[in-house]
Amino acid sequence: MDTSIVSAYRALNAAQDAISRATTLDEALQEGLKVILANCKAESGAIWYADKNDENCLHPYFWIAPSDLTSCKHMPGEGAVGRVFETQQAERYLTFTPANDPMTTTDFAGIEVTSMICVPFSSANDNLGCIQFINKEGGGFFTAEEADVCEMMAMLAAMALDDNEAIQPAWTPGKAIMRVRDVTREFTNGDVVTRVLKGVNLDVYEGEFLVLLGESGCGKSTLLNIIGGMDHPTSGSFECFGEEFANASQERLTEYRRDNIGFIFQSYNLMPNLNAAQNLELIASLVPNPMTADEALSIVNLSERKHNYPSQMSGGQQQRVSIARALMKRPGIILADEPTAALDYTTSIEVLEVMEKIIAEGTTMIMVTHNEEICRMADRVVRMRGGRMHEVTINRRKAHATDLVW
Amino acid sequence: MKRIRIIEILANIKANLVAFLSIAMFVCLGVGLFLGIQWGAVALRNASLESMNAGNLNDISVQFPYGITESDLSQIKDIEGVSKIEPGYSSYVVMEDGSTAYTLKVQSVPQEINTPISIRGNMPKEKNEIALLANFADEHHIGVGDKITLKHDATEQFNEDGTTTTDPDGMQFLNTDTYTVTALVNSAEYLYKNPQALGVCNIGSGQVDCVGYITNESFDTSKYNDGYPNVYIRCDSLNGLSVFENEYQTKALSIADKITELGGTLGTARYNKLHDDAQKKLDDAKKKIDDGEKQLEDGKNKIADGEKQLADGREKVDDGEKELVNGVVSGSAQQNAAQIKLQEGYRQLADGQAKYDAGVATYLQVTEIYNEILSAIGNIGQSDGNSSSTGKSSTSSGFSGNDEGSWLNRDENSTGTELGDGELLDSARSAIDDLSGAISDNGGSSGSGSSVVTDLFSALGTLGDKMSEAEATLEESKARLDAGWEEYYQAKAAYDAGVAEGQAKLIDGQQELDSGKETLKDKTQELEDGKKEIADKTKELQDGKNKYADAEKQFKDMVQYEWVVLPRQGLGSVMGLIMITSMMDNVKWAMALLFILVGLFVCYSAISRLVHEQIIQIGTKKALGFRQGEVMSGYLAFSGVSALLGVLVAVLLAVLIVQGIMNPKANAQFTMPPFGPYVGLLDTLIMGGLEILLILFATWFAIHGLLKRNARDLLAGESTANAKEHFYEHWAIWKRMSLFSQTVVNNCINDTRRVIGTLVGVIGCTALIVVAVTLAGNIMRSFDLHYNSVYKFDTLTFLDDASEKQADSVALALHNRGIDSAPAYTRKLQTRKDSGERSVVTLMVPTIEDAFDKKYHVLTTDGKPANINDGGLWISTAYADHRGVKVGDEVTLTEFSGKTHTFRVAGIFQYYLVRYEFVLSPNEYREAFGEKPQPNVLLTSLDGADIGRTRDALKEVDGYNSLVDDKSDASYSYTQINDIMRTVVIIYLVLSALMALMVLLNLDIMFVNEKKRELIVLMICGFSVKDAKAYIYRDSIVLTVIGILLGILFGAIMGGITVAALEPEMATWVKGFNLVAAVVGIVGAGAFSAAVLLYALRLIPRFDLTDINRF
Repeated sequence: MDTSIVSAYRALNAAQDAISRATTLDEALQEGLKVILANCKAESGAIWYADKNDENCLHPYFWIAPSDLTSCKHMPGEGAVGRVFETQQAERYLTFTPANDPMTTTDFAGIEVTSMICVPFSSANDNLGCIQFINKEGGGFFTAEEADVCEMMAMLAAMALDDNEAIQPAWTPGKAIMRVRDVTREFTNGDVVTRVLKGVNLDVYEGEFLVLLGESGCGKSTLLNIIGGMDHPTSGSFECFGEEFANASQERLTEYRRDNIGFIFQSYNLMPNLNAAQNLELIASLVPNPMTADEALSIVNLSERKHNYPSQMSGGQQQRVSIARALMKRPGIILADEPTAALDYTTSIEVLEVMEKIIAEGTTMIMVTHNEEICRMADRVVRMRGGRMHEVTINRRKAHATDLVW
Repeated sequence: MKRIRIIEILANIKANLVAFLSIAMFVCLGVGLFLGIQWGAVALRNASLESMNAGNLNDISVQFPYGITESDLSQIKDIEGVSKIEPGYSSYVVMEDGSTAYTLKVQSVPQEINTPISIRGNMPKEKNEIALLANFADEHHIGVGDKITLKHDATEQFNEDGTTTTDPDGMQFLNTDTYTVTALVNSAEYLYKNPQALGVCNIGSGQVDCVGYITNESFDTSKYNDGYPNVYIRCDSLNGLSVFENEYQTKALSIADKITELGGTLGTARYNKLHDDAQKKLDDAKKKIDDGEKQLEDGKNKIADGEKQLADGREKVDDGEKELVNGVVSGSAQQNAAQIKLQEGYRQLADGQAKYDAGVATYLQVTEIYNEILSAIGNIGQSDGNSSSTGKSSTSSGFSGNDEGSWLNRDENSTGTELGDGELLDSARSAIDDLSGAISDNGGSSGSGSSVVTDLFSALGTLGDKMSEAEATLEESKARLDAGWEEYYQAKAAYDAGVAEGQAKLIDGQQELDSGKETLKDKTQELEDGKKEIADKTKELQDGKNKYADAEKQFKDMVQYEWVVLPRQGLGSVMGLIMITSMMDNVKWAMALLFILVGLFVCYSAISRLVHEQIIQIGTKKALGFRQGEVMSGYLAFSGVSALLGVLVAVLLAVLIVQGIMNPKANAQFTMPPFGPYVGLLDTLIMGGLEILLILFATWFAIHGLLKRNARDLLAGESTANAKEHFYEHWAIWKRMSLFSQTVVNNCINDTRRVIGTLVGVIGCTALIVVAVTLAGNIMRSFDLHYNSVYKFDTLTFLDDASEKQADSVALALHNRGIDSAPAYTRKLQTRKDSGERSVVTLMVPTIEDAFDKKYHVLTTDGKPANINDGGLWISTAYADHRGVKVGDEVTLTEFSGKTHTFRVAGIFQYYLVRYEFVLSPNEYREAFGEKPQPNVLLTSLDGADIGRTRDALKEVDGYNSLVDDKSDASYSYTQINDIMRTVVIIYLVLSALMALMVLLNLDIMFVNEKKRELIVLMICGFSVKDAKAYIYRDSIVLTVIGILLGILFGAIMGGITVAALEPEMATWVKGFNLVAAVVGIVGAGAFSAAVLLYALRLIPRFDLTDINRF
């Protein structure tokens, strides 16, 4: 008995199930792609959608890949993705040669593309874009049967989408202020070498709220340490505001942190022997044009607590002081590591509201969190797994802090 | 205990090894120092006891200047507790070595008790052999075989116990003065090398420099009144007991009291006997003096008579001599006159004789002519006859020695011939001529011839007449000449007889005179001898009178001495041992206490830190159902094991390091052989157990509060700080302070545990240094202070006698060498404690107050010049402090004769040397002692002048006795103490460094680690490593400065207490603030603090900023 048919059937069922259980189109697409990739044994995959407002320029909508496609785009007919969208004919590169489609190689920078299938992604009413499958798990090549399944599943998934819910317009990222390329980080303990980051590629765009999500040990904090200038990558490059910091000296990194980065910690880490205002003034002494403590405290709605010591404030209040502290330097980027992990829901929302306010004012924020709900606030959500970026979601329907529920 | 609990404790130790070792280390230091010093003292005591036993040191000694008789000895032996006695002789002499004189106590070689142990050579056996204490001999390069000369220097000698021995004959106690050194010895009696332990005397410098042992035969035992000045006693009942223990001292004192009681009776009897004998001797002497005076008077009378007789005799001799001279002169004149006359007579006779002979010759010629004429006539005619005549002369002479009618006085014309010279001959010639003429006129004719013949005959007749006349004259002359010669010879014979007679008389007279002279000479000599004898007898009598006066004075001064009974603990060496071991006992607490306290704090601090680090673990355990006691037991076991380890290592420290350093130092001060370390199990158990208990208590104290908290609180962990708004934050000054200053203040205020810990560490570290430097510095400072502010002299020039004249003479000689001096009177007196213990006091009395004031600053305790004429005795601070004497109290001083004087204390003056010294005004002295103080010493400032040359220069100066380098002598004790103190300082500095290392480093590291989170946050926020370090060191510097200041204060207090603890009874040392110690403390503690802080700060750059994720 040919079990492949059975497998395909089961995969289709699973995709349909995931899509049907999704509450939003985005979720349906994401969950559907995950199921398809899982069943097709594809390593990476991306859903490209055609922006009607931009001459059907194809933008990455959601992808599961250790590569940041955020700023990639293809005009119809351009590259495999453009051609498939234009022709509505799937293309198969079971054995991929970069020369055949240099753009795919460029899109998936950091990944050696060995096998690729690109399938049109169309609903009943419209051509939406295409779905791209990259590499087979384990380093093999897609077979023709597997390519069939991929095509079939993409088609069925497209059919399952709610026609009433249109794909949101493309998110236009700002200027990329940070570029992380092939960053690895290894820790050596005796003879044991632990690779925490296995090649991360990420761009951070000005003014975005980027959430790094992932399980414990996936490398998100390590990545945050590197982009926060607290740690050096073992290899790869890390560039911020056009300057390479991968091999920068401690002094240079100190300057980098001083001039560019504001930090918000899970456990606030306020100076216990300084009151709120003093904690802020301490940081103000670092830069030439800081905010005033009053100004910063007013932003976080804690003006009345300026003379309170950390021990005299609640966790939320301390975290808000922590946020104010991060703001004091008027930094280009704020890194927040689980800022609400130690807070109760109400307090967390209060803190997130402050953060939302700050982001709305144009501050770039990168947040590490376990809280999936907070992802709804983010412009992009990067899920990490096993030391790599696993999937990146561009959030087209950002929620307000007050909308979050957990 | 279950195996898993043990594993947990071991794991805890492994994980907190620094804390574990810190506790162990300070336990080790505290216990080790304590035990080491204590055992060092025990080792010293044991070694000294061994030496005492080896030398069979007397348990009790008795001195009695009137001599203890054989009968007394037997009664002593009968006293209960006395098992063996041995009498002996002793005396004090001076040994000169170049220009330096040393005072020796010579004593008879003991046979059984106090037997010296020969280090080199053999003990003396002959009269002129001596054994010297080896340390003195070695120091002065005297070896076996060398010869030394001893001389006596005083008529009265003080024994070391304060009694005196008097020899009325001039103190020749020894039979010979030159000795050959046959042995160099150590003696249990003189274990302590400090010369002050050898005792004092009143010869030389008054300080015994060495002890020599000679045979009994070397002593003139007759001078000891047929008794022994010393008796050494052993008591079997004291065997096995240590002189350092109360039991020994009490028992020895009890037996000593019995002997003293016996001495009261026997001494009185002895005194009475000697007193009576002396009285009798005085009476006899008085009688002899009276007899002598009478005899002398008789002798003088005889001399006077003799002188008178001699004067008469001398007069007679003078007269005789004069008479003899006159006789000689007179005889001589007569003899000369007679001789002249005789010679004149002789001359006249000789002239007469010559004239006569000439006359005869003429006559003969004439005769011949006459004959010729006759012949011619014959030829011519025979008519012519001859008519010659011969003249005659006569002389008369007579000699009678003294006859004025002597022939010598006759007219010289009466002598000689009267025949005129040539007259006859001329007549004859004339006749011849006439004849010839006549012949010739006749021409040969006969005619004429007759006339001629006639003429011839005429002429011849004339001639013949004349010849006859001449012949007669000649005969007469011849007769007279013969008579003259006869008279001459008679006169000559008379002259010779007269001369002979005169000479005989002269010889007789001369002989008689010589005899008289001889007699006179003999008598004169006899008189001179008599006079000399009288002078000798007068001198002898005067000497006798002087001696009698001295004897009478001594007799009047003769007091009823007591037997001086000294138990072993009263010996100088044993007192030194007791003093040093007591100092060690005192210092062991002073040294150990600090480390014990610090150890407790370290334990408290380490355990606090440990439990706070493990607060969640503790919470977990409690949550899991562990009881509080079970949790606590783990920490108690942790600190207990640590303390136990510390105690065990402390034993090694005490044995190997502390005693390894201390014992040789202590050993060097005594003559005993090198001794090894001592280990005491019981001490270890007691001190170790106590320390472990304290550590366990500190552990309990550190954690009991925390363990009371419930599991939930513990599991929530603990905020590193619980800061809140403080009152001072509303002050204007606070608002003007910089943020950094505010941060420092708040850090310090809010982290009391760390603040206290750091402060204690810095305080301890600083205090250790300050205590050490204060200890060493203040002791030497006391010495320097004394010679800068009290004594303005460095040497003492002793005079032969107490005399202004000698003082002036020696002072002038010193002045001529550019050396200033001030005269004073000094003497040794005794004070006694209620317990009977005696101490020697030096009494200084100015004789010229202005000069004295320049050399000896008597300052009150508040540094003002004292008025010593303030009606009473001025006592030194040491006496006042250690005897509890205040102004207005009474102090009794005892002369060596036993006479006591009680004074009101008029004041207390600053004095820093290790001796008691009092000052008394001359008036007070005269009032108390009944005599004006005469200078017997000059307070001299050599000011760098060479002491040897000065001694040489003074040697011939009348009244100079000795020049003593008082400063050098006084420095002995200080040098010894300073030597030990140097070691103490080094130990303290090392321990201070260790403390800084273990406490401050621990605290700093702990602080840095506690602040790690804040530091990482700061660095993440953009602060540089330098900024982050500043965040730490600003606090630390502030705390270090505060700690150092408090440490100086604490160290100064502890230093004062430690100095007081070490202070010997006879000294007062400076206990006040020592600036050098403070500076060294600041520098040392600052350096240590800075070093450990810098080390701790090295952690900051190594911080992994990503650790922020772990907080």
